[in-house]
Amino acid sequence: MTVEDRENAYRYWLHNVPELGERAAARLVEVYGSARAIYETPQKEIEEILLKSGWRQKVVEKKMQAYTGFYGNWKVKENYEKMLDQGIKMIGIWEDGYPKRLKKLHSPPMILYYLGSLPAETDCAVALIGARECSEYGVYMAKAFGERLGREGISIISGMARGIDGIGQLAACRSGGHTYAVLGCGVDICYPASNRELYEAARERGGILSPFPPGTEPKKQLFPYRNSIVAGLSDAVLVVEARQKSGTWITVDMALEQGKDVYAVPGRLTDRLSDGCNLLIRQGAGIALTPEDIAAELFMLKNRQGEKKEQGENASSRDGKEKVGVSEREGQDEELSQFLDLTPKPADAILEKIREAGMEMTLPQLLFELVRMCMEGKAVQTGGNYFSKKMS
Amino acid sequence: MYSTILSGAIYGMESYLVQVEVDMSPGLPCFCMVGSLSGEVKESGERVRVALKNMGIHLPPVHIAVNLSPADIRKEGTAFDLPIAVGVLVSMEQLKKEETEGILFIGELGLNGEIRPVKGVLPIVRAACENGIRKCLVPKENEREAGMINKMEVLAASHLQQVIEYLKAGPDKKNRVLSPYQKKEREKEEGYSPDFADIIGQESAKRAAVIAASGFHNMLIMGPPGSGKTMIAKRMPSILPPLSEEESLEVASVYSIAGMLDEKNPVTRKRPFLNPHHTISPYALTGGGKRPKPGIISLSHRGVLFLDELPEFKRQTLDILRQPLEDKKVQIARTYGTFSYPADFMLIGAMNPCPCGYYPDRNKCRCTPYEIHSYISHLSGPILDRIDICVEAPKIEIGRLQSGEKGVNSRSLREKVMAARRRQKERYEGTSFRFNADLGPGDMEKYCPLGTEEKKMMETMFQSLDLSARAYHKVIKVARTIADVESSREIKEEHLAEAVCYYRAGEKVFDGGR
Repeated sequence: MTVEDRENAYRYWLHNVPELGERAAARLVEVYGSARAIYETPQKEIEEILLKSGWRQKVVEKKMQAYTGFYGNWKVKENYEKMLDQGIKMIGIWEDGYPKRLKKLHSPPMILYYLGSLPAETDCAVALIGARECSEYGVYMAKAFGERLGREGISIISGMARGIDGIGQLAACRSGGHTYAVLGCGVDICYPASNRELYEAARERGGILSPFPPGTEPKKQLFPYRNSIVAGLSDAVLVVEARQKSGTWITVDMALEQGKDVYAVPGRLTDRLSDGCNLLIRQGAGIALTPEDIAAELFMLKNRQGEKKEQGENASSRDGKEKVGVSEREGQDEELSQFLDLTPKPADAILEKIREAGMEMTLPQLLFELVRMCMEGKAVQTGGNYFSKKMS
Repeated sequence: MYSTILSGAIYGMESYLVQVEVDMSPGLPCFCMVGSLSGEVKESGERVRVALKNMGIHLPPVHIAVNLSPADIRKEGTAFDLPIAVGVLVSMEQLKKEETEGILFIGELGLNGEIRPVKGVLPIVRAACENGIRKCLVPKENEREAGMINKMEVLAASHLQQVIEYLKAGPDKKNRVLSPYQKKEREKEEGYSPDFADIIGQESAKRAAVIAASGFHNMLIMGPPGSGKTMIAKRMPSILPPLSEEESLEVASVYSIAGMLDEKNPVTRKRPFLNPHHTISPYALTGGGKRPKPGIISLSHRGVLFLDELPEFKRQTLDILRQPLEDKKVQIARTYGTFSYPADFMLIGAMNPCPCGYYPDRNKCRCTPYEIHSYISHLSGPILDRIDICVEAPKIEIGRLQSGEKGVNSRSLREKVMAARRRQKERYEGTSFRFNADLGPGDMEKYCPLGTEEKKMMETMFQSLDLSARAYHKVIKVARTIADVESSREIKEEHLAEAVCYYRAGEKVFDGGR
């Protein structure tokens, strides 16, 4: 074990002390110079230091009680090695290689644990965030943006949550891009479990990061801090779908505090799931019309437009052809698809629209046509009676 | 003197004739009854004795023995009061033996000699008729019920005195004492109330209802609160064909045994509709008790059993439906023996698509895929297996409700159903099947052959829509019914496509691809 390793083992121990808190730990390190020194200091002395540093009597008592209970039960070396064996790496704020962007945070994490790798300093990174319960439209947009930003070489940073977050990240991985997932629990826990595929993919094509020690269970109160790190690691934040009241706002607020650009994907005014995005746009957020817009602006920020501009232009022209939802349907399919929507609609409602348009059709006929379109991949059936346009 | 009087009793759903034997012989005075009797039958002796006394007829101080034959079947109920009283009177030589011959007596006596109604008259009279008996004497209240049996001369009395007078009267005066029940012409056709015309929109749900009614398929309706799931289910009897004479008797028999027959209108051609609350116990559903009474499923025989808020029912309760749905009857075993009640009903379930009720409208629904899945998985697979048709009832916009428009009425829908049923009848002539719903996987080849085009379509559909093998038979079965509704001999592509929709709604490939 090198000297640094030994110190890291003690840092790891210190980070795991329950109730102590990062601020108190930082203060102790400041006083003693190293975590090992703290380990070897009598508890009485630690208590005094904390009291002198302004913590209240009651708080200190609580901290010290937890400290005493914890002290004997933690095998410093074994636990540290166990973590390394799991492939989990840690990097302290005092070390080189700690993401510089995070240091600008109001309270940067003292230690960052990660699987895979950390985002490179030179890389452009976008936080792609949104609702967990999202619509077909949201799924499509998350996929489209994730995939194309990934292809442009922009890292996608997000919380690996269900819905927009996970879909966008997975799309980036699949298109060969990089993605970094910041978790609200220990990096050894795949939460939510349904995102196992992404968890494995992100480990390969980026990293799994967490400011919390391995083994920390996912807790609601940990997520806001996680969100601030998502905002901190990225150059811009892209909101795909969000309700008016949503956890997404925490990330957006933190990004704005840090002076980062916020983009929102516009939605229809009647969609409650797009309320948040539309509101952001009214408040001055950038309107994300194509992934390339965002890419171009980011590269400009990074002073790299020279290298990438060409690619960006190509992408825009490509986009023209791929423009969302427009495809070459013929004859009846073309006609029928104009009555379909991106959100699933019941067959009854579709039929009514068709009749309003003056076309003659019976329900069985319509169902037949729709099922045929589904079979040909031109429409999507949700449940038995709901149909929507196929987007991707 | 020895006498024997004809009566009858029910045993579960079966009825049988009982010989009431009365004998009077010298010895210690007593009123002794034998023949495997339950408590209320034994009490009968006391009622008869007091009733006769109050009419001024005193029993002689002799040994009176009463036997109900066959003596090895346990007798229940109060229907033996009247035959015992008549038997006693014959034994006392107050009545002539010949006068009572060939008449079936049923009725309970009051202490003043009044004759009171009893349960199960219809099945008993029916069994008697099958045994060649052509005359019966029943309580006044049970007159219409017994009168449902053709070929039977039904006499109804409300007091024992009338019975005595009738039996004493000469042949020409008899009809003046008690006149045989004259069957009234069937009351006018029952209306279509409630009518499907009350339902606005919901075209697909109505269409599914017609198909379900045509093939007697079980149906599941899914939809947000207030979309009219219950309204649709309640209107099912109005589009099902009216009960046939035979069916009507079956239904009335079950109700008669349960003591739930409508006195004024015992014979109805309208199909039963039952919607038990979801707190119902398994025994109330199948029929329970020491000697089981018909439960809800038997009361919905030949009709509709509607289970609203299906996932709210206890799983055990729902699982009990499995056997009756398969066998069309329910068998209940007790220490006394096994009882079998008919239970050939159409199951209609209604449920919300997710806990909040609004899926797939993501503007309102915030249920997680997991929540939706666990809500659906409340229903056990075997029950869903027996439901062929599943349909979603979307929410109706307020504008349409206020427009005052009327939907298609039940009369025209029923015509469609009847036509489809006729086609099935022709097809299944001489087989044990009645409806398409009865077809098993092995019968598909014979009754639901597919053309090459259709077979190809099924293949592509199964691949592109990712359907399970289990779906195959269901889809074809329902497509057969759709073809019948559309009066097509062959199953065509559009029939298959529509049938797939009714299958998919139940399969719930929630959030596929996400």
